[in-house]
Amino acid sequence: MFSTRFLRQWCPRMVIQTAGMKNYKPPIDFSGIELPEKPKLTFMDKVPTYPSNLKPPKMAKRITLMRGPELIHNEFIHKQYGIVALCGGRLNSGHIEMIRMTINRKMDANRMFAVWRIDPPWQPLTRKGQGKRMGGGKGAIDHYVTPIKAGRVIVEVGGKCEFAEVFSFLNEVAHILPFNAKKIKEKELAASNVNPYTAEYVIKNNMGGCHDWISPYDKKWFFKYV
Amino acid sequence: MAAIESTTRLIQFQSLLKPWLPTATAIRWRTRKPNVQRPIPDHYVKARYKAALEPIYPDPLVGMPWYQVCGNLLAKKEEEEVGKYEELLAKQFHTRFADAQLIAVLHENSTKAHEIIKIKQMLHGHNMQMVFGSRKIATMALANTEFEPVLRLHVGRTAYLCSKDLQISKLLKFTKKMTSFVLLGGIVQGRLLTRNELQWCSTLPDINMLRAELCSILTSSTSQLSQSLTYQQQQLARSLEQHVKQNGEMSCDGES
Repeated sequence: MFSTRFLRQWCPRMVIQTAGMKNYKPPIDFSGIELPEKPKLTFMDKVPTYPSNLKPPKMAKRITLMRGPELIHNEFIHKQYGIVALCGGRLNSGHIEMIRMTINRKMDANRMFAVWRIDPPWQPLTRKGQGKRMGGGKGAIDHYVTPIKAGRVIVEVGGKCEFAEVFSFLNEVAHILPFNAKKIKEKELAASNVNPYTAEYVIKNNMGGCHDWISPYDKKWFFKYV
Repeated sequence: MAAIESTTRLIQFQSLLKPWLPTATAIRWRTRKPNVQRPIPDHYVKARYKAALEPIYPDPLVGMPWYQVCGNLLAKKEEEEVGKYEELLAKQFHTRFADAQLIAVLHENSTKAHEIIKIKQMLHGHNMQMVFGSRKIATMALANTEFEPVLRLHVGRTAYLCSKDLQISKLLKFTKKMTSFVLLGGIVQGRLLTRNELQWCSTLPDINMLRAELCSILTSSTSQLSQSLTYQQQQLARSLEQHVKQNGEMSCDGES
């Protein structure tokens, strides 16, 4: 009674099966892709190895290692699929193990390979004992982390596979990471922005006396990063 | 001169007496270390600035003509992809049309496969063929050709009966037998005709006969003239022949 075109528009969730001519496209050509010998993610040490005479050094908090955009490791080497941090943060050994186990378990080692794009945890974080009072020096090293800036590539997955196959487990990993994800579709629309005032213009021209309260980082990043 | 000298010396002294401002100063207060992963909500003033500096993207429908802005538009038709098999079918379709002298355009009601087999058996050996094709394939085959007007009849399921012979009465007889196909019109030697015109066409005598008639009409005056000229001689010749025959009979009778 109702045509399929009508139903498709007004009941978009309804799955309508129709018989018709199929246009089978040729499969994707993966001939140029070489798979490495060890396709799975390697194990990363939780604690970096120091020479035996060296006491593991303690380190300052260095939040600048997490602040701002990643300018170097922000592009894919293998040009296929991967996980990119949208926000700065720290990855500890627990997160790294989770990424490694999930990806190694879910991927097909015969067709795909995965590669780390971050260092093993190297920054020491100290903690005082629970309930201890202030004072008495800096606390002892509790664990090590890898600081990450926004835009950093964490893991790359590639091989003779399409995005849909890889998306499911990459999404799992991405959701568990300790970063707040933000949708970035600004790249395409930036050109069509009609607002004559941009953050860059306002800050560079000290409009409204904003230099009184902006941070020196706002002069570099124009409200984009914390 | 002296004034200039004194001022220059003053400037030189000033450069020596400049107070030293250290590049790094210790300040008692500084901004709180931000939590990069879970940042605190912005201060009111900063939030207002950020809100004012949000990008404004123009509405794509502003300035468009009314027929694109109307809210009652059905979803835009996606661009149809043409497959290789469809191209092949369209080529086949076109060759069958081009080879045929007589094509009947039929509306196809839903039929069972075994009925179509029976129809094909009926047409076998009569230089006729059923041609089926979707609107997409028919358009691909016939657009920008002499057969383009036929596409106006191709609404819904349409089939074509292509005949290489020019026997319209036979074609109509077959179409009457196909109960699930409804005759819409036909193409006779490159001309699109309606159903009634087709039926009138079938009542016409064979074209060769008509051609012979036309020839005879054209030559009638000259033949009449030649007949009238040679009438007397022919009559004489005939009567002499008859005479000869009679005499021959009589002599035979006399001899016997």
